[in-house]
Amino acid sequence: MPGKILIIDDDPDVILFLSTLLQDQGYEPVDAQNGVEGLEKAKADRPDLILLDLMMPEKSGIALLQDLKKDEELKHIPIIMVTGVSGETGIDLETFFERNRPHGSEGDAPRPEAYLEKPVDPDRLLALIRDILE
Amino acid sequence: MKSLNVAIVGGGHGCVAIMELASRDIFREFKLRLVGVADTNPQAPAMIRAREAGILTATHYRELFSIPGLELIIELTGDPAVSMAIEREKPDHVHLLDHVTAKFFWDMISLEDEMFRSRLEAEKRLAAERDRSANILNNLVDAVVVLDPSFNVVHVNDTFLKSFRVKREAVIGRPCHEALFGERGPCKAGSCPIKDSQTQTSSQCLRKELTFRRDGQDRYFEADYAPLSAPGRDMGGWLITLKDITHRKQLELALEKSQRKYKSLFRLAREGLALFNEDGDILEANTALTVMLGYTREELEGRKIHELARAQSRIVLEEHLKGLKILGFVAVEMDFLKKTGDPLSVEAGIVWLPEENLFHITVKDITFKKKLEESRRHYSENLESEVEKRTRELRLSQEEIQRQKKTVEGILYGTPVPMFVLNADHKIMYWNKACEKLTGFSSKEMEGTDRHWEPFYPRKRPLLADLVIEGDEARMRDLYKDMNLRPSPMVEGGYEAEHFFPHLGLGGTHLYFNAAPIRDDEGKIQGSIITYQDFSERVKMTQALQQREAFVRNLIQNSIDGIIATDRDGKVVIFNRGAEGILGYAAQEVKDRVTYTQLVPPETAREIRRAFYDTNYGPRGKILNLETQFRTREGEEIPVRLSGTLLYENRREVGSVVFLQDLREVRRLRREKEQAQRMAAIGRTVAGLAHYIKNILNGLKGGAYVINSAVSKKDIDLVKKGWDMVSRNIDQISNIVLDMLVYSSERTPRYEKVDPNELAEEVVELMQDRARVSGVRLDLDLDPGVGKVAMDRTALHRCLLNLVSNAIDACTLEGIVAGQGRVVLKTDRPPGWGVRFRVIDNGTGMDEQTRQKLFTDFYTTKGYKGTGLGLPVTQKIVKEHGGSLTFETELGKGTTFTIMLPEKKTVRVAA
Repeated sequence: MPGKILIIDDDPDVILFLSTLLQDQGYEPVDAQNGVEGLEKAKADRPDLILLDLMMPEKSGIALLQDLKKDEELKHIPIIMVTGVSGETGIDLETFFERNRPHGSEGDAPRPEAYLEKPVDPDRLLALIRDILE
Repeated sequence: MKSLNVAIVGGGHGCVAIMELASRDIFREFKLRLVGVADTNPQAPAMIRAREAGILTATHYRELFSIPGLELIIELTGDPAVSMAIEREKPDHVHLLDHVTAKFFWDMISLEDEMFRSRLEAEKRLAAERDRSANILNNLVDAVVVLDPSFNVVHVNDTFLKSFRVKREAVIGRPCHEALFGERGPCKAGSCPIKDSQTQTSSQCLRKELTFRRDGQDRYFEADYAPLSAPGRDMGGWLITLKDITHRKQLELALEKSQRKYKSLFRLAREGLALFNEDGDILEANTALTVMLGYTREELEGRKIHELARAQSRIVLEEHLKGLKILGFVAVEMDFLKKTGDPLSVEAGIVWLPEENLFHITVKDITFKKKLEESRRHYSENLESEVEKRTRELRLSQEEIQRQKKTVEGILYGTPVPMFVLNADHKIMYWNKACEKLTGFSSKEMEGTDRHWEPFYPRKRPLLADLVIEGDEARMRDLYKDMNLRPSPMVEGGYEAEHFFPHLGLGGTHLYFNAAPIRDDEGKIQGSIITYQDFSERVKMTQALQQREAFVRNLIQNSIDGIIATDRDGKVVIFNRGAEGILGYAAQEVKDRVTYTQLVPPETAREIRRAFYDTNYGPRGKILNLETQFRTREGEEIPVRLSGTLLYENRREVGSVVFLQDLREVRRLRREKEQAQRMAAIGRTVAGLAHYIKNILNGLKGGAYVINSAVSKKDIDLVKKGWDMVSRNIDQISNIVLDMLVYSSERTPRYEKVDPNELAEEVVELMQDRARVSGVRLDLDLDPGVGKVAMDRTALHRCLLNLVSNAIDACTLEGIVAGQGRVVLKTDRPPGWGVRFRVIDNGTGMDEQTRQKLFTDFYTTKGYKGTGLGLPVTQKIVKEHGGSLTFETELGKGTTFTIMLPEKKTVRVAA
């Protein structure tokens, strides 16, 4: 059963593309153009899944991830982080989160449920969403 | 020649004899002039003869007393009564020679006459021998004067006569100083090294420079005074060799300047000189005047000129001074008083100097002249003793002639000029001391042989001395063709040449030599003489000088730098090959024809002038590395780097020299280097750009997907959104391609007149959408007074677009409250500039790291959304316009970017 998906990205092109793609697959896309708006929409719309862009003005994807995963009501919502970072800067997100996890407190570290590198491959995205939601 | 006016009383045969003697000029110092004869018998032989000669005759001696100028009466009657009567009655100024004395006088004259004849005989005999030796002497290049032990001239050679333009008779027998300097009286201290040195017996050669005045020109000689000697014996007397150094001396003297000359002339003049004012107060007096009058200079300079004159002269002087301002100059003979009270006869010349209103007096001592007149009177009174003296001297004359011959031999041996003499059989007759020194061969081993070639050549060959004997000119020309052979200007039939003899002396010797034939009275060649002059030192110096000059000339000519030297008026005097290459002129086109201002644009002339006199480019009078423009022959203005210096002589500017470096090449290389750097930078940034482009491609892909989806859903609104997405990304692609093109290529702006305000409006209109989406307020602040400015419209459009786009981004970065961002594009026109664009934002500002990297490389703060090309491209365009791009920034407060474009008066339309 298709669900509600919140797309948080500062690039209107990305929002247009992803929402059209998800809509075509029967999902219900909701979008936000920055981190602040994204947090509000998450609270208000209670999406089944969040697609979160890492690089955004005002509030970065990392900061928003921390907020979402600390919120008792929202932390269960699965998050797929969409990023161009690793390709562009050579930073491996996996390693990034591993390093930031406090010792001996596994599970406490705010981590997204999945990563997806830009450019977004529609088939891979849909497969990932399906995996997480079912 | 002095003459003695004589009248004779008694017309007998004695009188006739005297008349005969008088007509023969046997006396050297004076001439007897018979002015009257008296005899009671008008038919006496002398009376008849006197009438025939137009001489006054009288029958009574008293009639003779009234003859004008009569100085002496000779009484030949033999009657003591007549003698006594004349003595009693004669006027005081007339002297009487009575018959007793006259008889003695007569005997002496007869004796002299006889000896005169015998002397002629002896002279004839010796003359031939002497003439041959004299011939040799005459062939010397240097003037030669021979003195006897009393410093009288006994011989001079032809060279002397030619150099001094005097006749032999005028100098032989005269004291040395008279012959050389043409002046009577005792020789002066300082002019004669023999007398000065007090070593008259020394065998040392003395050298002195002498000055002579001939035909109004000073001539200078280096005089060698050598004691006369033949091998092994001192002959007494001196040999003076005079080398003409006038030319050298004139050059030296030309260097001394006039002011000093006047001062020393005044001080050292032999005439007394003084300056005095209208009241007669002496202001300045020279040494000669102090010596003449016996005062010290201090005593003289406090005194009035009138006080120096004797009573009667004082009146004369005062009269003359009154008229002087009208006449300008007077010359007057007068008497001065010495400090001792003794009178001093002077000739005074007084000049009025109207500018200073001063008088200049020249005082010449004529006491001597007066004394001379007196002594002449005295001389005639002492005729008798004079006659006796002459007789004694005559006895010595034969010995003198003997000695003369020996003297010549001594001269040949002792002269400092190397020389040898060949006889007609090419055997060496003389080989002198100087020649021994030059060649290292002694006269003993050489004389009598024909080995004279040995010192000069490795193999036997004829020397010039041999060839002049043969008179073989063809052979001469053949053998001496490389030795600058020419006929001698001094000696007839002689030749001179010069040559370097590698075997002679240490390291060879450069000799100038002069060979001349020796002829007898009939003109037959009897031998030859050759003299040498060592030119080695002179040749070496000349060569060194030439080398140095050539070196400097080469340095200037072949310097890669352009070298241009100008004289005081800016006229070009040196224009080297480098300058020819840079400016395209040939040296002869500009040298002495063009001033340097014609080689540069007017601004450059002013700029160079300024740079010479201020200290911005090195010290005053110098310029170091001024980058400016010169104008080529074709009128093209080209960039040059200029260094230069003003030239001074005696603190006065006499010209300048500048060194030019062509910067066209340097600039081309610099441009090429920049180009290479840009290409390298582009290479480095390709990875980053690839991601940027990949992003755009994704946008395109996404857009395509949206359109596809919309078409299948027949959702027209969605089609439009998809299409916007695609076209936005296409725009981005074309922008980056344009940026890369602009950045990587060499280009000149395509200038056109553009209204900056219009341009600013266009850019803002274009960016307004994006600003709105980003929540940034974008405003214009235009100065209506900004007129049109020449610029590349498209390029500047891109610049402003870049800056405004950056400014908007700066307002949307993290930390900026949405809706507070503001960007202003402002125009105005500061003095001296065409236009100023300012893009002011209140965004994040930049930290130090960002500021540092801003222009140096492709740097972006926007991740995959920026290319890092924007600012480098903007900077490049502004630079191409000759403008400037600057920025001010403060972290958290905002940033202002400023573009300033220069005023360009002429717009060159790009082809």
